[in-house]
Amino acid sequence: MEEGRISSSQLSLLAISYLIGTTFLLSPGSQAKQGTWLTILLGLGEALIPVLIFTTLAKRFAGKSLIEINDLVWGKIVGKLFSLVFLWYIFHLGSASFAIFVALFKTTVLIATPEVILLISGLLSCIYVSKKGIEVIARTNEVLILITVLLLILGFLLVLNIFNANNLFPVIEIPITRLLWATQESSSLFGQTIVFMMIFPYLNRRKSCTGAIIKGLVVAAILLMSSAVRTTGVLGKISESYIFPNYETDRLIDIGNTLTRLEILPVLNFLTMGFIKSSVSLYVTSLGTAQLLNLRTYRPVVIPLGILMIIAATQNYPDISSHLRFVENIHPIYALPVQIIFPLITLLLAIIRRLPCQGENQ
Amino acid sequence: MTRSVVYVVKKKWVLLVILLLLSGCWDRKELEKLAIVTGIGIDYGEEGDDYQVSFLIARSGEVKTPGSSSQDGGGGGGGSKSVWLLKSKGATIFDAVRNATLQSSRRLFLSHNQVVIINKEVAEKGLLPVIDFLIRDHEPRLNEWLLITREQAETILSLESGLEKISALAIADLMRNYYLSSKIRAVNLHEFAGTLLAKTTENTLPIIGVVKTDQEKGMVIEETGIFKSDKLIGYLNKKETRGLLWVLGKTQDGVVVVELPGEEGKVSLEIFGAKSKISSKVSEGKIRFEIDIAEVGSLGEQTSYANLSSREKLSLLENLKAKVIVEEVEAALKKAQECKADIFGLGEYLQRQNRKEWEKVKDNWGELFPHLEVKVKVKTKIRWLGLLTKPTILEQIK
Amino acid sequence: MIRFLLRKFGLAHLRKESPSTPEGKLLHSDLEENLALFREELGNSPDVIIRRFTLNLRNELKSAVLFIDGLIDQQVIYDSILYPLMIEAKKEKWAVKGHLIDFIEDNLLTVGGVDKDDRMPGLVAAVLAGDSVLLVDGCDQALAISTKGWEKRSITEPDTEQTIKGPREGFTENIRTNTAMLRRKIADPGLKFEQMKIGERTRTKVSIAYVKGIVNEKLVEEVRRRLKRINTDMVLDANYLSEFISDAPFSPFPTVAFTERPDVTAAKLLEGRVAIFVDGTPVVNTAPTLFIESFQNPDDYNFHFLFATMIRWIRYLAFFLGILLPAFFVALTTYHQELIPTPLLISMAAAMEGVPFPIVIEVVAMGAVFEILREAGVRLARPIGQTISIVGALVIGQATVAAGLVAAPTVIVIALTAIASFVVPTQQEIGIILRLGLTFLAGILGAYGILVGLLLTLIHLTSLRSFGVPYLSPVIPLSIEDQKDVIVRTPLWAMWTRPRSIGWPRPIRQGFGQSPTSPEETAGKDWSRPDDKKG
Repeated sequence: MEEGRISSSQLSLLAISYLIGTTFLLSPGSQAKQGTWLTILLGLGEALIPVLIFTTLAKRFAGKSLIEINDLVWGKIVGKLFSLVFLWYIFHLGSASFAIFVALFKTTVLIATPEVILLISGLLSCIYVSKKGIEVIARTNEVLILITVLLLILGFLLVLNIFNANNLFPVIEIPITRLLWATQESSSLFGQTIVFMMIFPYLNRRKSCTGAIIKGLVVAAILLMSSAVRTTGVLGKISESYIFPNYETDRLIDIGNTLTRLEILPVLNFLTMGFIKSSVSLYVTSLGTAQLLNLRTYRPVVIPLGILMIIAATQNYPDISSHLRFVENIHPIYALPVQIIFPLITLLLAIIRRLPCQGENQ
Repeated sequence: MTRSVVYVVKKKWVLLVILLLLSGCWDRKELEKLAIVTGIGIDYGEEGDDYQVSFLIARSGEVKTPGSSSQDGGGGGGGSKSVWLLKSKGATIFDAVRNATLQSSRRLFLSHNQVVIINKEVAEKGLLPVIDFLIRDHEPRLNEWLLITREQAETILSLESGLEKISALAIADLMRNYYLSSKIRAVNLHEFAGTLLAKTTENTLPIIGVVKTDQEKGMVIEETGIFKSDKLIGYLNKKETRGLLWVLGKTQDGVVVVELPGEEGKVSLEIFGAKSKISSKVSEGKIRFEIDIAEVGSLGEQTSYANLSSREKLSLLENLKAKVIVEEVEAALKKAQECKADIFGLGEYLQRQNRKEWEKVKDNWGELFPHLEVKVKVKTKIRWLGLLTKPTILEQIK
Repeated sequence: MIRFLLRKFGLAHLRKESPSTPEGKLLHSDLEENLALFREELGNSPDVIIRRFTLNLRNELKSAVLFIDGLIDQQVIYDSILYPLMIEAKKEKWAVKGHLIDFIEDNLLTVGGVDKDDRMPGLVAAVLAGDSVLLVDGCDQALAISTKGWEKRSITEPDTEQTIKGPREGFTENIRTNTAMLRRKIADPGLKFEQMKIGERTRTKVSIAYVKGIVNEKLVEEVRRRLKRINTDMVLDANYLSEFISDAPFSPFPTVAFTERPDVTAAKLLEGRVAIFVDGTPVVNTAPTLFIESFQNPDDYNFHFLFATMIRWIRYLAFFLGILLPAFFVALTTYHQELIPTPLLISMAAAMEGVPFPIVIEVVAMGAVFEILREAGVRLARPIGQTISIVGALVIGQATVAAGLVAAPTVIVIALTAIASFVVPTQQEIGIILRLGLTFLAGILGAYGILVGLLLTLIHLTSLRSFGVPYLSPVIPLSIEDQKDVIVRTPLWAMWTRPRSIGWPRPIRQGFGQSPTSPEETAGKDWSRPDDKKG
C-alpha cells in the first residue's frame, strides 16, 4: 500500500508543520491576551498525556496503523466504527485547514477570485503530493519548514524596531477558568498529532516514535510561543480585536519606509504549512479509507476524498465567525474522544486481552 | 509511441485545470488603472451627518515627466498639476470611498495612503466611526498618520509644500521627522487604535494648520489635540507637547533655549536623547507618581558673550535646562489634568507596578487622574560643546 | 484505445519490426566469387576500393585488398599490407606450413589488429568500420586488418563549458581519443571501459566507463541493463541514449548530465558515477545526476574557496532570479502594489502610463521576443549574430519603449532575467518552462499563483530520482557532511569523503586532517630571512 519509509527526524518535522499549519493564523489561547505564550506552554505539558497514550499503543502494536489496531482490539465491527470516527476527525482537520486559508485570502489578497479556484489550485498540490506517497510529503516538508523557520526569524528581526516589551505585561490578565480553557484549547491542538498513528508503521525505526513526536511538539511550541510573543509585543492591546493577529503584525513592518507591507510573504509561508497539514490529512484519510475497505492501494481514493474535503471546507464554515467559534469553543471538547478517550480505552482493552499475542506481532 | 500518447492523454486533466485557471484574472488591478491615493481628508458634508471625504491622488502621468514642475502651477485651492483632489460624499467613509468611483475613471487604491486628515468637528464628535473602515479594510496601511485640523481637511490637502510635489507625502515626512524639534506628537493609526483599547490611557493627535504668507499658503503643525476616548476635548501647545514627549520618552532631538541670569543673550542647548522612568507609589490610599527624566545634550549655540566652557558654567546650564524641562512637563501635566485625560499612560504603569490598587481605581480613573500627585525629576547633562571651546568673539570687545 | 485505432487503420505494421539475425553467407574459395559477394553487399559505391595484386609465395596467387576510401589510413595499407605482401614476400622462398591465410597473418602482415573470419556479415561490418579485408584466391577465409584512419577534429576547448583557470581540452568526436584522454587523467587500473554497439543501422560504439572499487556495482549493472534495452536504428548523439535511459522521461529536469570536458568526467567518475561515451559526439553522459550538479562549475575548484563559494551563491541567486523575476514583477505590479515603496510605485505608474497591454501580456511577449532573438543568435553565423543583437537592443528595446508599446520597467525586468538565465546553462531549458508557467500563474492568482507553481515544482523535484539517487540530494534528504560542496565550497583538503548518495561503497576519498601547516607551527620559523633570528 505504501512502500516509502521516513526517518524519525522527518516525522518530527512533519509534526511541527502539522501543528503550526493553521495555528499561525488562528492562534490557540489568544483569549489569554498577553499570556498566550504561557497557555501554549501549559498546553504542551497537558498534551503529553494523549501523546504518551497513543505512542504507547503504537509501540505495543509495532508496524500496525490505528485502523488495524482498532480491528485487532475491538473486532471487525466496533473497530471499524472507531476508525471511522478517527478518519472523520482527520478529514475535518484537513478541510478546516483549507477553509481557513480561503478565509484569509478572501479577506486580504484575492477578494474577487472565486473560492473554488483558490480551493482547487490548493487541492491540486495536495492531491499531487499525496499520490506520491509519504516519502515525498516528508521531503517536501523538509524544504518548506526550513524556509518557514528562516522567515520566522527574519520576521522577528524586522519588527524589532516596533517591538515594545511593555506590551507583554502583565502576563495573566484573565480569570483562571478562562486560562484553563485556553490551555485546553492549545492542548487539543497539540493532540492533533494523533494523525501520525497512521504514519508510524512507515518509520525507519518504529521504537523512536514517542521521541520524534515529542521533539516535534516542543519545537512547534517554541515557534508558536515566539510568534505569540512577537504579536503581543508589536500589537499590544489591539491584538485581540484582530482575526489574524500574526498577519497584522507583518502589516506593521516598516524599515526605513522602504520595506513595508510585507504581509504577503508570511501569508504565503504559512500557506505552505497549511498545505502540509491538508496534504497529511488527505493522505492519512485516504490511507485509512483504503485500509478500512481493504483496498489494494490508497491512490484511487485520493481524488474523491480531496474533492469531498474542499466541499466540506465550504459547507462546514460558511463564515469566519463560525470558524473562530469552532476553534475557541468547540474543538477543545470535540477533540477529546479521538485524542484521549478512544486510544486510552483501546490501550486498556489491549492490556486486558493481552494483545498482541506473540505470533501476531511478527 | 502509443504509450507516450496514452500518457499525455492521461495527464490531460492537468491541462483542463490550467485552462480553467486561464479563464479569468479576477483580482488583477493594472498599475496604470489605479488612482494612487496618498492622502485622505475627512470633513462633515453640508447636509448634516454625511461625510465628505477628499482624496489626494497622485497623477502618475505628471509626476515624472520632465519639464512639468509643479512649482510654477500657482497655489490656491485647486491643487497643482501633479495631484488631483477628488471630493466625494457618503453616509459612511466606505460609502464615500465607493462613491468616489462615480467621478474617478480609475479605481481608488488606498494601500499607499500616507496621512488621514480629519476636521476638528468630526474629531469632536468621535473618531471611531471614521477609523473603523481604515483598520478593518485590508488596503489602507496601519502606519498611516492621523492628523486633526481646524480648517477643512480638503484645504490642508490642497496646500502645496515648498519642496514636495505631493503634499500628503510632505506631511508624512513631517511626521517622520518629528524628532528634529520634538514638538510634534506623531501618531499613526495603529497606535491610535491601540490606545483606544487601553483602559485608562488617552490619545493625542497633532493639529495641522495653514500658514499664510503674501503669495502662498503653507502647512504647519501647530499643536496637539487631547482626546477623551475618541473625542477631541482639548489642546496642548508646542511647549506642552514637548512636555508630553519627555514623559513618553520620545524626545530624541531638539533645542532647549535658556537665558543665563545676569548675562545678555541666550543659549540653545541641543538635546541628544532622553529617557523617562515612571514609578508609582501607593501609601495610605493615595497614589503618587514619580517621573524621572534623564537627558543628555550638548551646547548648540550661544548668543551671549560669556565663556561657557568651564564645568561650573555647564552645571549651571544643566540646572537651567532641567528647570525648563520640568516646566514643560508640568505644563503638559496640568493641561492633561484639566482635561481629565491620562495622555501619559500613568494608569498602565500603575497596572504593572501596583496591580491591586489599579483594580480598585481603574473604573473611575478619569475622576482620579486630575488629583494625582506627580513629581517630576529631571537630570540633565551637557557632554559636548560643538566644535568650539569658547566664543569666537574676544572678551575684550565686551 | 490508441493501440486499437492504430490497428484499425492498418498502422500496426509501422511499429518496428524485430531485427533479423541471419547466419550470413560463407566465403567461397574462389576470389572472383568472393569479390562478387562483396559487390553485392556494398554495391558499386565509388568509395569502395578493390586493390588487386599478385601474392608470390610458393606460386602466384591472385589476391585483393578491399577497403573504403576515406575510412582508412593509406600509409598503413601501403607499409603494412601491400609492401610486405608484394615485395617482401618475393625475397625469400617461404616454406608455408599450415593454412595459407594463417601463415600470412603470422609472418607477413605488420599490423596490430588482424581478425580472421569466414562469414560475410562480420567482414562487411569490418569494412564499414574502416578495416581492410584481405582476400586470397583459394582460401575460404579472409583477414580483416585494422587500418582505421580518417580525418579527425583536433582537440579544442569546448565552446559551451569554458573555464578561466582549468584545462583547455575537450572531447572530440572520436571515442578512442576520448577514452584515451580519460585514461590520461585517471591512470588507475580500476578505470574500466565496457564497449557495446547500439543502433541497428548506425552500429554506434558506446562505452560505459567507471572506476572499479569506487563505483557501486549495482549502478553499473543498472546502466548496462538500461542500455541493453535500447532497440533503435540510430544513435547519433549522446542525447539519443539519455532519452532512452533517463528515469523520468517526461520531467523537464535533466536526470542524465552532459559534459564535454575530460576533467569534469574524471572528477565525476572518481566520485562514483558512471560515464557513457558515444562514438561520434564530444558529449559524454554521466549518471546519476543531481540537481546540484548544475551549479557546480569546474572553475569552482580552480579558484580560492571563498571566492568559489561566493560565485556559487551568485549562481543560486541568478537561477532563482531567472525563474522568478518576471513572475514577481507581474505579481507585484498587478496584485500586490502595496509592497512597492510609494515613491517607486508612483514613478513605475508614471512609466506605465498609457501602455495599452496588461503587464502579463507585456512580460510574456517581451520574453518571447527575447527567446526569438536568442535562438536566432545561436543558429546564425557569428557576424550576422551581432546584427541580431543590435536590432534586438535598439529596435525592439528602445523603439517599443519610446513608442509607448511596452513600459520601461518591463524591459528592464526581461533584460535582467535574460542575463540571469545564462548563468546556469544546464538548467536553462527548464528555466524557460518554469518562467513562463510561473508568470502565467502570477498573472492569474498573484503571489498565491507563484506559490502554487513553486509547490508543484518542489513536489515534482522531491519525487524525482536519477538511477536510484534522490534528485535533490544532498539537500533533501539532508546530508550534513555533503553540504561541503553545496552551500559552500570548502577547501579541497577538507573534502575527505565522497558524496554520500553516490560514492558510498568507498566513502573515504583522502586522508583526514591534511590542512596545510597552521600558523602557530610556522611562527618563528621564517626561513626566508634567517639573519633576523640571530640578531
